[in-house]
Amino acid sequence: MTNQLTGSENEAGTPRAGSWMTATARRVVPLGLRQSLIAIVLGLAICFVVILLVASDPLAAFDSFIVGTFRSTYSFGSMIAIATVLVLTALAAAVSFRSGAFNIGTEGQLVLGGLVAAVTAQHLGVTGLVGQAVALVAAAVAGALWITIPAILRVRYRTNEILTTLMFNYIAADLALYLVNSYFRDETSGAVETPPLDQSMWLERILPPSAANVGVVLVIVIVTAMWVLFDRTRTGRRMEASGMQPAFAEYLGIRSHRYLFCSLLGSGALAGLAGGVAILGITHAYVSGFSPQYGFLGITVALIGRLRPVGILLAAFLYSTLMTGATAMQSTTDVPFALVFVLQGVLILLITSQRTGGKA
Amino acid sequence: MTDRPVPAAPAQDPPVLRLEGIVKRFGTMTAVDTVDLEIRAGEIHALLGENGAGKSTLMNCLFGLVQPDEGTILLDGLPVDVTSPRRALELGIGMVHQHFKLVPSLTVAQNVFLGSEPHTGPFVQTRTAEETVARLADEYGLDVRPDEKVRSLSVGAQQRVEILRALAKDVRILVLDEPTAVLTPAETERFFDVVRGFAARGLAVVLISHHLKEVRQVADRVTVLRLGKRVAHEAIGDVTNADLAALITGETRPVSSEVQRGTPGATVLEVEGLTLRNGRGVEVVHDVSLRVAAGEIVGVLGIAGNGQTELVEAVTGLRKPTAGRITVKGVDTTGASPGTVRAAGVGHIPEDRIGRGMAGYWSVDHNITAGYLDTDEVGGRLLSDSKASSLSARLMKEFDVRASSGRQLARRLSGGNAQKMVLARELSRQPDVVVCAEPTRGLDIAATDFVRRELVARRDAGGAVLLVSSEIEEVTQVADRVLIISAGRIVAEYADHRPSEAEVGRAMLEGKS
Ligand SMILES: Nc1ncnc2c1ncn2[C@@H]1O[C@H](COP(=O)(O)OP(=O)(O)OP(=O)(O)O)[C@@H](O)[C@H]1O
Ligand SMILES: [Mg+2]
Repeated sequence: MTNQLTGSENEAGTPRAGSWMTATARRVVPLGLRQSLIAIVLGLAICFVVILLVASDPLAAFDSFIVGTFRSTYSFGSMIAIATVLVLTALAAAVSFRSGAFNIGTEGQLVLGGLVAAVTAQHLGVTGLVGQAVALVAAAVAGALWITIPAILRVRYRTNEILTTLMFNYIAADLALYLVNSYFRDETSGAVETPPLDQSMWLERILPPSAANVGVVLVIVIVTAMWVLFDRTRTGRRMEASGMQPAFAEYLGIRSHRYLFCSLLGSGALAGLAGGVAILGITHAYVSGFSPQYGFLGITVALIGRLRPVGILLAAFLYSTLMTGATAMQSTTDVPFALVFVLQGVLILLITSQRTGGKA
Repeated sequence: MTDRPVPAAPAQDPPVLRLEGIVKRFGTMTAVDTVDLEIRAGEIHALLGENGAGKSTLMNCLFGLVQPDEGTILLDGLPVDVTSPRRALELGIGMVHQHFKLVPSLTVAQNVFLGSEPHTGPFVQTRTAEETVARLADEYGLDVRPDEKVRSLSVGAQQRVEILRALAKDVRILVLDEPTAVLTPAETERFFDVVRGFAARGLAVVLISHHLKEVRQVADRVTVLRLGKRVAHEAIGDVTNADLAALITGETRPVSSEVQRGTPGATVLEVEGLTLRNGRGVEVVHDVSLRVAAGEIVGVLGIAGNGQTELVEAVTGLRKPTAGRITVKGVDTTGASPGTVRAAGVGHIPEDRIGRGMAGYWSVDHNITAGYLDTDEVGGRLLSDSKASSLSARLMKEFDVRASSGRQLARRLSGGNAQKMVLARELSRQPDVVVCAEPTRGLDIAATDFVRRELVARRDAGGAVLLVSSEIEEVTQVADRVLIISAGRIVAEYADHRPSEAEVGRAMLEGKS
């Protein structure tokens, strides 16, 4: 007989293995700022303990980790540049999480998006704003294409998208390496990278000499658009219903599959765009390993930001402050950058295990 | 009516449990207001009250799920601090919740011992766990297999698992929150035998229910809550059902007057030769035909599990038929998507209101306006919060949905109010066809009456209502035509008169008229 109370038999397109994800998506959205703050404070406290344990001069380490970023325009600008990319990968994660699918493949989509942006920018023949726009759109399309197969598998055959998108990360990394090595490599360079882009294709810097660039404007536009989509449109509302409670969405006549498919593609596109922004705005060439795990970090940022665009914006600034801080700390003290990954693990754990407000 | 003195307790029988002056507030709203309660060993104590009266909240205080703002809990005369459900179980207090909290993918034994598995070193002793469950099940006459997955259990069996979970912890006080709302009449009978067995062994049982008939059958004493306050506590023998009803609702209302029969017009919903398979591929509905006319309520009555769930799903587009035809106002909707069926003018009040009928983590506003997303009542191109919340506020008022505000999460609504929220969304759009399954399950007297009146009002306004229910009284009182479903077939029809309860009861059991 049907399981009346859990309604698990007919949930549209939800593989059983994915029920914990639905549960996560369900719980993360209604959580408030308070829970995020608790997680951040606890996460930082654990970082402090780690620093105390491993640093020979803990005070200096704390100092560069937390406030180092605001000491110079350069490090502040670097922080902004990182945040620009993180917001996009975090929005990518949020779009898919909200509709009940977990795109863990943002890293791969970002890498390919970056490569396509670099190659397009180089060979397009059009320069300036138009050229940049075309390259960024190409990056987004690449990201969307890269998630198409996992998206089809998920919607048609209920294949768990966590596994497929994750595996596509490894394929993407190898594919990018192969393509650069065989076709696009800068022969004059010892590293695996494409030739530097013409300066007219660079996203204009706003805090020279730091990497902060006009990508920030694009990001603010996209955050606003996402806020409108999630909070102010029927599409966003229906997407949320599909993600939160598939049986309810089905009952309301919402075609969950359609929303799922579109939001997976949208998610891929945002991740690809993030890659494009990183290449045109920061490295100005496709450099193998250009991403310090922007894709995976985006997942954490999305969760801290409670899958809400404005929350994500704030979380991204916080997180990149810590990342620039960790870089500074690594160079001035003996605490490694990997501390950021400890923080990431702790935050994910704390946030996904929290309950909705108060006792119930 | 005022608080009358408690009937003198036999001297040898001191209360095992006393709640004194319990207060629980949510924001500005006082859900439980200075309530005293005393429970004795070996008694079955009924806790009655309207939807939202605070029954579950009071018991949640006792079980450590919420912390009371004021008041004391005395166990064997000593004050205790019930900080968590775990602590409650240690103290010998068990509770079976209104909405079960089982893990569907685990077995019965795993669910029973969740978090307290018997183990040697790091290894869980599955055998021991299963044997313990089998022994307990046997001892208390609870029929379940310890190694079965909870997912495949009927609702009645799931409830037995919940009870086993409490019994495995060796409780002395067992709270049952609306245990019979999900049971078939036969299961209810068996369940009450089990409960009487508990009491005979000296357990104290607190039973929350909306069915006065049932309460009278098993309870020794009753306590009535109204708007969070205790308004009576009596021995059951001292009060009549009319007294209780008056205490619960706070008004002496006449027993709901007889529903006039409708005047059916043209056929609106037509089902021809419908054959359906369930999720496992077993054919559960065979060649069923029925029609519902405008201005008519057709009741489909049967013991749960006879194909009515699947029938409702097929009519509302949630299940694809293997054969047959469904038309709504002449439009063929066979195999159409739920969205198409909805657009064709069908409203659906689903049996599984928690999983299907609402999103628990959405606000009441979102849940209600979810049915209006295709209209301009929730905004123009962009959604407007103010429009949505005024629409929702109007419907909450009209359908008497009691919540602290429209922004309250739906999962925090009391059981009855959750159902009224579903009704508000579905009926307010005045659908031509209303398909409802067990619409008054878990509802208090007033709310049940309210729902039935709403269905009749929809009928009188020209709606076609298909009422699928396992409650004889409900169907015989409200429906204009009664069909009996048994083993997936319509086995009897009463068209020209309202059948007596005895008449249909026999047909339901025999499977033929
Ligand atoms: N966690 C909570 N937050 C806010 N309000 C709550 C919460 N829990 C309960 N309430 C409110 O407290 C009131 C009492 O609810 P409760 O669940 O105790 O009612 P009940 O008597 O069990 O009703 P029912 O018969 O419908 O189950 C309701 O108005 C409900 O909305
Ligand atoms: Mg209740």
